[in-house]
Amino acid sequence: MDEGKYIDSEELFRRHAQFVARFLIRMGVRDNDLDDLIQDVFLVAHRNGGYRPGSASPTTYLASIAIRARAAHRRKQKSRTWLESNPNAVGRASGEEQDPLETMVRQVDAACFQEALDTLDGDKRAVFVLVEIEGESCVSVSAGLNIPLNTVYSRLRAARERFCKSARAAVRRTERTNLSRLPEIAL
Amino acid sequence: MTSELKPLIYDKSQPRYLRELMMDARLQEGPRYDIKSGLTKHRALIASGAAAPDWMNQPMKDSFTGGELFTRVVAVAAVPMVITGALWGVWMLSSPPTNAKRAFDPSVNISAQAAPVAVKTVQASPLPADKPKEVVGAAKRPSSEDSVPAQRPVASRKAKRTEAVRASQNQPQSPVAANQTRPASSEPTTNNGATASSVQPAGQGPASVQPVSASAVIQDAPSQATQPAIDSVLQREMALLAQARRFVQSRPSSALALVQGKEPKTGLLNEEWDQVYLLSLVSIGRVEEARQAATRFQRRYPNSAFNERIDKELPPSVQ
Repeated sequence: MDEGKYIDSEELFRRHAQFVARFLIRMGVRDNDLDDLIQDVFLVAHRNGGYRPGSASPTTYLASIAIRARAAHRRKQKSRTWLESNPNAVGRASGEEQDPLETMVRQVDAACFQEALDTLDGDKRAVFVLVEIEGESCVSVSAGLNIPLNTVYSRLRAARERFCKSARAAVRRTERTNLSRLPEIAL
Repeated sequence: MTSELKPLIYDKSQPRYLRELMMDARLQEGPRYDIKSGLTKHRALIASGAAAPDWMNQPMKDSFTGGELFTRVVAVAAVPMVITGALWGVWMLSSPPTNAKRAFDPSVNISAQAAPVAVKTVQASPLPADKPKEVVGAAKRPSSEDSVPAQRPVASRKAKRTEAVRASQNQPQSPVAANQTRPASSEPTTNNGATASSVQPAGQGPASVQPVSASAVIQDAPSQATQPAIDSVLQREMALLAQARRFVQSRPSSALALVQGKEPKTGLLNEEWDQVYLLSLVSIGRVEEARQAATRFQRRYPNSAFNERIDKELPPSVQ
């Protein structure tokens, strides 16, 4: 458990750079800009003196910095980059070889997932990603993002509702595309 | 008092496909970030004393207070309204005199003038709604037509339309139509590239733009079994198979329909189709058929890794 110990930025980098990369990708940052933003995040963590034990976990602490990095990056680009996220970037999973069909199924699932995620705005998206995908607790997210616990709950609820609706539509659209040449199957 | 929410993957009230999506998302490791080189770069940045980003001390701008949000909403809504109002005002002031403008002109007595004009419109023209437009159009025409009564423009336009219809019926068909009435040519496309109306064969994707007639494609199909054509069939088959796999638990009857469907199959994925067929039968509950299919599968593919799974998938036989 990391929460009880001070961690310097180098150690943070070693342990959690992959998490920050994954989080930024899910927040809609493109591959090209990923490395720069990761460096910015850990540079800020270093300037802040690393991670100090508290209610927030190291990952939620880094996530709060990553959210600001992403927002600043978005303002600089003056475009809503969360609409241009790359589902294939997140889909590059572990080094295990998978058969092509499994890979195709996972790619379709990843595309549906990312399409649904793209419908969430920045606030809800961050909370949703941290809680539902990264498995963080709401208390930790509240402390890390410096927002009240009830705000976390309300954002999560709204995000879940929106996400479920969009995911349902995305999956149905995919099924319809695949079955469009088989009219005898009732959808 | 708000309560802790159960994560979606553990929430049984959510549909299965959603929980599977979330599970897949959790299992994905994300991009393969080179931590070693990233760490080296990080150390170099610290050693060089690189300045922290500007936003370091700024609050998270993504989260707005209620007042900021309200201000933004009002600003966003107000701008188009202001622009629309300005454009409307410009249009109103620049357009020729119309009844609408008269309505805003305090010097004009609307009640005295508008009614007679309306009566005249109804009596004089079969299309009273067109009357104001005709007046405007007439005003724009050369002065020699200014004295023409209002009915003339309508009649002349109508007459022109009728004449045009008659003319099109009498004239020979357009080149496109003429091509369509010709029997389908069996010659290859190079002879006549101008046959833009020829049918696009169904098997070819959007990338192939050759205007070949359908019969030419059918005749030439055996000799033109090109790799791209086979690849596209295989791609299609893979997509359908992937879909059938996804349906096995949630919609086994649809999975079965996909297996038994009439879509062309390359023959390269027969083992996978047979697996889906077997699992679909189990999901539907046709256990005896599933057992027979399993026996056939094991005979046909004795070295398949799926054989280990068959015994687990099939329910124990009731004796």
